[in-house]
Amino acid sequence: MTLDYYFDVKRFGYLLKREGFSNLKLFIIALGAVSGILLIIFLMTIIQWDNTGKLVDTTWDAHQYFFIPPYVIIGVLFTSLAYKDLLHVNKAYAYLTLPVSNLERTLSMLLLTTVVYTVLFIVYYLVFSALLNVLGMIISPSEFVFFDFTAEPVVKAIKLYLVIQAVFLLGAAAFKKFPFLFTLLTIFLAAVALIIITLISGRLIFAEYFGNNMHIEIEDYVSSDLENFLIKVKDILEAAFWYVLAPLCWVITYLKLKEREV
Amino acid sequence: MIEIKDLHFSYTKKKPILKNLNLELQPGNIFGLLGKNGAGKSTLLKNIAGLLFPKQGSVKVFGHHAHQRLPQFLREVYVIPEEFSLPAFTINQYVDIYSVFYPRFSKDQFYSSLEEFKLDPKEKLTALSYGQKKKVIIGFGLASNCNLLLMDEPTNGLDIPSKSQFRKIVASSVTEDRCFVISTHQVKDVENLIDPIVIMDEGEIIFHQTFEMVSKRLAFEVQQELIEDEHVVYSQSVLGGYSVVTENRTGVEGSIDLEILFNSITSSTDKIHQIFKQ
Repeated sequence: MTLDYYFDVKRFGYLLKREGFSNLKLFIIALGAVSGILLIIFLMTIIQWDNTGKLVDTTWDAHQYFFIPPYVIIGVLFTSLAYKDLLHVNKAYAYLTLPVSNLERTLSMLLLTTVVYTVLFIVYYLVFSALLNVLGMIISPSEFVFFDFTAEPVVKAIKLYLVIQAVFLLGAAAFKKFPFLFTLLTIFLAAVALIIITLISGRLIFAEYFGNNMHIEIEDYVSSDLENFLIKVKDILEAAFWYVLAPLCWVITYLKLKEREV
Repeated sequence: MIEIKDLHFSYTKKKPILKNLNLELQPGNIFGLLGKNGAGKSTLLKNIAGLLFPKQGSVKVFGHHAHQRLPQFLREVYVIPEEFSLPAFTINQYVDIYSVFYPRFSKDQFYSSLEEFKLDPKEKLTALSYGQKKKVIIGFGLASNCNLLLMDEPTNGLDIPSKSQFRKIVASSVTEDRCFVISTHQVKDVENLIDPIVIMDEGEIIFHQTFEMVSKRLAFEVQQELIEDEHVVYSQSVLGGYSVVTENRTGVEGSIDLEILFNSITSSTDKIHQIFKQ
């Protein structure tokens, strides 16, 4: 087998074009809806009067908080629909017999729902926020700060989205119905399971510290060794979340697509 | 070209759909895959297209294992399913976006099929009727010049003139390198088009012969009164008498009634097998 059995740049380009065309309309509608909601919220935040009956004159700097929620919500919704063709038998035929590799199917949606989506959403919000600022300056005496997509909260949100969306991409490939809801449910159940396991592990590991009344004195067990151990565990879990979870989900997404039948 | 060995497929462990099925299909033919409802025709097509994976045995198409769904395999296979859904594009947009995946796609061939079917390429796919959409994907499949075209009930939804247009276009598109498989239970629609005939029953291939061989071995006639004869394989009452299938002892090759042939094979499988074994 040669490399082009798995990846071919030309073929990948054709697939991106197909996916782009298929999702463009929905994306534009979503942006339209978001714009409407954000416009209403924006107007509600700037049209406020002080005690003298004048519009409040302040410095308005909330674009990053306007940007983050729709960016993440629309992103995971879109990601959940990444393999929407697989949700219907009649469409799945065409999708799975399209002459592309499973790797290309995975990478195309990964690229579109991460890099392309993020870039497009940032560009959209840069333009939209500029328009909001102009509108704000016309209506209100306040000063409006331009949206900075390199601001720390925005960068953090993008990083967090890139991890979370991998889980939703896996959900899109794995679930045959309602991928968004089933992914949410799975995350919830996984979180509950993790909490239960942590509680049981804690109870077992620190059994000797538990008194008859189940009361734990923190000072009793925080030795420096234990503290270091707990910090290490925390670091490992953090690293696993930021650097392992997403690639793991991508690999499983690929495998799920590979074994998908109609 | 298509090599199916000991194929076993089931959705649940209890009820096998395909049982140790062996089949070899060579290019240059339009195979008619016939069978009753639930015989396993669509399941077989899906296994050939790599849409379902064999539980046992293998399906090899052009040397590729179908279940791997490699692009080199997929660009040689085009599936026209019975039920399908097309995107909200115009026909022109659809062709621009999808044809690039098929290296031998001929736009001229596609547009001439559209002309034959009297369809406007500027029309939106979602605005077309089921039959018109079917014509678009039939035209696309033929123009893709894929070496293997799998059609599941292709004449469903086509009106009477379109059925003859379909036969004409399909017959003119088959070449020495191409293999078409038409799965249907509407045998009248594909009469004079398919050859050889493959008949499935309860997940097995019970008959696989060319028309030439059928007419050499079997004779089809209408009798006013049913004559008891050991050579009669099958009979059914029709308007004005009985349609009878007998062993062809004269050697004269006559015409074949596909519907009667199908009925005779499914109801007298053993007798037919004996005749063809000779």
